[in-house]
Amino acid sequence: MNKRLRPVVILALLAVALAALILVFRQRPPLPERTPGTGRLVAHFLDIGQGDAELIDLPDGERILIDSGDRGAPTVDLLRRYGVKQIDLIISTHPHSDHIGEMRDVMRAFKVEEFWDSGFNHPTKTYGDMLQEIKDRGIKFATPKRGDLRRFGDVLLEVLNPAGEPPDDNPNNASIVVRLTFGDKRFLFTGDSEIYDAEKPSAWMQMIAVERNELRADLLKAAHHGSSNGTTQQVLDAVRPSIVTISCAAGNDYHHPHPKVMRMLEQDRDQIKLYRTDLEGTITAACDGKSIEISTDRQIAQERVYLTGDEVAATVASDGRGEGPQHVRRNTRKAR
Amino acid sequence: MKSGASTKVVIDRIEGDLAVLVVYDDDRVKFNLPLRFLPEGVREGDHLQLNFTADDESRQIETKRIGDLLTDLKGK
Repeated sequence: MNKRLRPVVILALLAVALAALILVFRQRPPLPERTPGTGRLVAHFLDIGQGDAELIDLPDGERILIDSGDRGAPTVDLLRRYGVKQIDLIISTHPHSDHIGEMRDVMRAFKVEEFWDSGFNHPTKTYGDMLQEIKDRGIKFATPKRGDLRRFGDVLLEVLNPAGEPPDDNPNNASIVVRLTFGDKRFLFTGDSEIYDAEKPSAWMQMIAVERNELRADLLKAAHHGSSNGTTQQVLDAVRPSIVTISCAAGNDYHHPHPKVMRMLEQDRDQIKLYRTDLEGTITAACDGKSIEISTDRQIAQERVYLTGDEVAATVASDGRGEGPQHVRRNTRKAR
Repeated sequence: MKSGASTKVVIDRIEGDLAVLVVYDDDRVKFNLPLRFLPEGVREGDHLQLNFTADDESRQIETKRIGDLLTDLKGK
């Protein structure tokens, strides 16, 4: 090479390399930021139609997602709306589609640190696709059992179910049940845990058998969308909640919530405040460690909160628009 | 026109007397079917082959029945 040209070539090469480096760095997506904590524990029971999805903002800024709603649910959009950039822990309570249907899309949209699953072998494509995505992304995976604990700053997360091998071949009874404790307040997330009677083993009977006091919680997410095998008087006596939430869709085909559960909660109306996603939209429970404040997307007349699933379905059918988001004003009322 | 088609569905779960069936090739597509229309003893997680065969004879019989009814009703 011509000696005079050599420095020019070297400079040109350096310039190209620099340009390439700039391009590479520009194209790399911004690193996910963890939102700064608010010092409060905030649980959002997301309005995702028929199914379950709960986003939990922890006091130090970590995020937990319990279940994703069904395939096609607007979960990713809702999570973005709540400012989610990354999820520290996903818990899929059990492998039914109305709980895990959107998991794959959630993992594609957000950086996920760790994934807890029931490990119940449910041979559906939806469940297989979810596990494949976890594997492909190299996300840390675990199947927690009763007694497992995790601390997030001042919040303690306890696993209450499953105890070991599932009691029967019903995925609902393999549900991961967790309780979060922050200060004086406790939140119990129950998946679709079922209860039949004392003789027949179930997730609830196994939990109640251990020690009743261990189930105490201020807020109870009613198991299995308010079905009669998710909440019984025995369950309420063991948990003794002051707030109950139900996640289901208006006009669902499964009669959720069940009349028995509605009558029971109505009888306990002085002790228990009831909130439900089908009528009120997303329910947000914000806790400072001493009290829990509830807000909802929509406000409803107090007596409507005890409508059965079939009564709501009849309303939906007659007015043809269901409980759509007509009211945007959020309704805030202080819970006990 | 294709006279037949088939697709695989999975029993995602059973809610009371309803089976929630999810189409294997597109799990956005799901529908409920009372258990009485399914083979006896099916359980959650079962994979079922669903076969559709156009029944032209049945269509013709129904068309004729409705045609006759319309003729009768309009004739009065």
